[in-house]
Amino acid sequence: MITDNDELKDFKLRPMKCECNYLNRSDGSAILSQGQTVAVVSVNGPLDIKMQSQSIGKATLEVLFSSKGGKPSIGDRYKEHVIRQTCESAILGCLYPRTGITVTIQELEDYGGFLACCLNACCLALLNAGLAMRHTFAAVSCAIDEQGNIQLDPAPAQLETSRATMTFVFESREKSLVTAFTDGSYSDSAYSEAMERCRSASDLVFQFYKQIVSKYSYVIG
Amino acid sequence: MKVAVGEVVLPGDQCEEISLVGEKSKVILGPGLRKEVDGITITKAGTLKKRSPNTYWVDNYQKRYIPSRGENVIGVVVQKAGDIFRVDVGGSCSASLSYLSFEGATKKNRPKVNIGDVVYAKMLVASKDMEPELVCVDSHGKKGRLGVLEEGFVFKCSLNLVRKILNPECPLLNSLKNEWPFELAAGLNGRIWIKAKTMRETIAVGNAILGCEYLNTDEIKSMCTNIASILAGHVS
Amino acid sequence: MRDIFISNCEKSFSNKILSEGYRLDGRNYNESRQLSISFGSEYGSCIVSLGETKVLAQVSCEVTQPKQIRPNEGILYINVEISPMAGPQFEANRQTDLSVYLNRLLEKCYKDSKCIDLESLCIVVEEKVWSLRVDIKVLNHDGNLIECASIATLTSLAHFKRPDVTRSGDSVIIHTLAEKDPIPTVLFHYPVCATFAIFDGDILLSDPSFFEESVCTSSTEEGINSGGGVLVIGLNQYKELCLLDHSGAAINSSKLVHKAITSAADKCKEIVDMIKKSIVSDDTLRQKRVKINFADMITQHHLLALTRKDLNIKLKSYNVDDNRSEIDGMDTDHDLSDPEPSKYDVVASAPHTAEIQTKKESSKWIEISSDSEEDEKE
Repeated sequence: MITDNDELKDFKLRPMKCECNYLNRSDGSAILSQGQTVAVVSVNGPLDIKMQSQSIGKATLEVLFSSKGGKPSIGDRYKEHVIRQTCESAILGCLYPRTGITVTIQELEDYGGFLACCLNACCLALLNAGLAMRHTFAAVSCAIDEQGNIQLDPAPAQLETSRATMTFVFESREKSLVTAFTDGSYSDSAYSEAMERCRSASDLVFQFYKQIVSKYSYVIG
Repeated sequence: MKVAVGEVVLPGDQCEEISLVGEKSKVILGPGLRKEVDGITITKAGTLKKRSPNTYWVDNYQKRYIPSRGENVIGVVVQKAGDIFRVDVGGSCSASLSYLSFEGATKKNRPKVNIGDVVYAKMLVASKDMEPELVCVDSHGKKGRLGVLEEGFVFKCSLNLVRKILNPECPLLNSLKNEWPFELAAGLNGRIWIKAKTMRETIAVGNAILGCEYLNTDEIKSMCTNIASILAGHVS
Repeated sequence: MRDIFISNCEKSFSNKILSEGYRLDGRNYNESRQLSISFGSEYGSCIVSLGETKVLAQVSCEVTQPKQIRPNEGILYINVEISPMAGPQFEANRQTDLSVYLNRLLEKCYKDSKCIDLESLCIVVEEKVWSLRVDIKVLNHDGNLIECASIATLTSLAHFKRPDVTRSGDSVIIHTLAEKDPIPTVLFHYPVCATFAIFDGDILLSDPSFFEESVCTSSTEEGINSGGGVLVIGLNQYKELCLLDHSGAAINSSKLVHKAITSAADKCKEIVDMIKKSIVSDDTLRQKRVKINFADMITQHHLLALTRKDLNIKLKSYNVDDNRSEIDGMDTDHDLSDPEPSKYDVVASAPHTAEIQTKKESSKWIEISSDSEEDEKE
C-alpha cells in the first residue's frame, strides 16, 4: 500500500470524499472534498465549437474557473491556466479533432490546498466523462514552515505560519512531474525533498481514484 | 501499473497480457485501449474485458457519444439541406443522411421524412476527421428495422446502460417480455425508443430501463416484477 | 447557446400522457420535486437543489458610497451566472437570454418588493453604506431554474450575517467575526417564486422539469404555439403577490391565473417555512460549534450517489429503494431460473433490435446484440 521508501512513510493526507456524476446534465462531473476544501467540476465534450477556435490536430480545451462569490480575478485566470496545462497533457486530444472540451470548476470551500483539490476533482470528472486520457494525474500540496519542516496537505492554520506553499502534480505512469506551482521562498534541497514527499503521497490519491472507479465499474457493465 | 483482464483499470495503466497474446496472433483492441510504442495502454476508466479469442475493451461510464462505424443509432432530423437530412445523434457534430439511403428511394420517389422525426440508422462513415454519415438500409438495400420510428417515445440515457440492456446476459428485456408487449429500439448513442400499447406501459418500460442502470442481475429481476405489479394494480 | 432539439414523438407523447393525467416522472400535476438546502461554512452561502436542478448562492458585502438619490439606504445587487457547468448547451462567458431573464426576475422579486430593510444597511448617511451582493451560480439546469434560484437567493440572504460596526466620531470600525457577533440581515417578508408550465391552455404543472419546460415553450410543426407557456408567481409567506411573469402563448382565461396563484400561495408558505426551519437548525448547530461545510453533502457511499438519483421516467408508485437491500430475502421468492412460458415472443429482426410478437410456437430468447461488424464483413 505505502511506498517502499521508509523515510517517507509518515505521510498523511486529509480525508477525501468524492461523488461522481454529481450533475446530471454534464457529460462528466465530480464533487471532491479534501478535508474542508471542496470543489465541484463538470466536463462537457467533445462538442461543436466556433470555427475560429477549432484546431485541426486536436481538441480545444477550455477551462473555466469560477470563485464562490464576487468578481473574477487575475488569480482565477492564473488557476485556469495551470489547470488547462495539466489537463491538456493528460487528455488524448488528438482523438477528437475540431471539437471543444469544456472543463468548468466551481469553488465551494477553500481551506488550504485548494488548487490540488481542483486538479484532483478535474481528473475524476474527466474519468467520469469517459474521455480518452494518456494517464491520470494526482495533485498534492505541501507547506514549508519557518523551521523548514514540510507539512503535506496543509490546513489553513498551518498555511498562516508557512513561508512557502507548493503544489505538485504527478502522472500515473512513471510518477513524473507534470506541473509544479510554488509560492514563497525556499531552498533547493527543501524543494526536492517536498517533491519527493508529495510524489510518494500521490500514491494515496491514485488509490483513491481506483477505489472510486471500482465502486461503480462492476455494476454498470 | 500492470493490470489484467477483469480488473478495474485507469488511464495510463499497461496491460502486458494483451501484448503477449499480440505477439502470437491478431488482437482486436476495442474502446479504451491504445497501442503505443511500449505496449498496450489503457485510456479510459472502467473494467477491462475480453471476449474470446482475442478481443479486448474497457467497459466505462460515458454519456457523450463518439460516432463509430457500424453502430446503430437513434437520431432526430433537425434540418433538410438539399439532398441530405441533418441528423442530431448526440455527437460533436450532426450526421448526414442522404434521402437516397432509404429502402426503395429514388430521385423521383423521395422518402417521407420531416424535421423532428426520429430515425433509426446505421453509421456508415464515422471518422474523427469527417462528418459522420448514416444510412437506413443494409448492404442488400433492405431497410430491415431501420428507418423512421413512428410514435412511441425517445429518451436519453448513458451509453453503458444501452450496452448493458443489449447484453444477452442482462435479464431485463427477458423479464419484461413476460409481463407485457412492447417495441424497443436501442441506439448505441445513448437513446432508446420505446412503444407499448398504452402510455402507462410505455412509461413502465422506460422506468424499468432507467432503473436497472445500477442494479445487479437479481435486483433487476425483482424490479421487473415490482414494476409489473404496479402496472397491473392500476390497470385492473 | 446551442439549441436542444425536441423530436415530434417526444412532444406528442408528453402531450398525450398529460391529457391522460400522468407526468413523465410520475408526479402529480401540483407536486414538486424534492427540495434540499445545504449550507456552506460561511454565512450566506448555500446550495439549493430542487430535484436535480442545483444552484449555489453566496452573499458578500462591502462598504461603499450610497446612491445620491437614496443617501440613507444600502445597496442590493443580484448577479446570475450560467456557466457551461449548468449544461452543455451553455457557452462560456456569454450572457444568454435566460441569465438576463433570471436576473431581472430575481431583482423584481427581491429588490422591487422591498423585502430587505435597506435602511438598516446604512452606516454614515451619504458616505458609507453596506452593499450586499448575491452571486447566483447555476450548477445544474434540470428545469425550473427560477424557483430554485429564488429559494437560493432568499435562503442565502436570510442566512447571511454582516460584520458589526462601531462609529466613534468620524471613524468607523468594522469588527471581525471573532471580535463581535455579526448582525443578520433584516427581512420584512420572505418572497419566493413558484413556476407553472401551462399545457393546452388549461393544464397547470407545478415545478416543471427541463423536458416539460422545453416541450411547453417549443412551437409545433406549424410554427404556432399550442397554448403552452410558463407562468412565474412570486409570493411571500403572507400570501401577498410580489411577482407575476408569463411567457409563451396568451392565456385565454383569468381563472387559470387565479388557480395558479391559489396553489402557489400554499406552496410558497411551505417553502418559506422550510427555509426558516433549516436556517434555525443550522444556527443551533453553529452555536454548538459544529463545523458546517459543503463537504457534508457528499454521500459516503459512492455507489449510492449514482443510484440515488430520481429517474426522469417513472411510474407514480415506483420507489427506487424497493429494489435494493431486501434482495437476499427475495432470492427464494423469485426463482426465475425456470420462467413461466411467455405469451409473447421476442424476435430479433436486425442487429440491436427486437420486437415482441404474440407467440406462435415454442421459442427462446434470441441474442439480439449480434455484432453488426460481422454483417458488414460478409
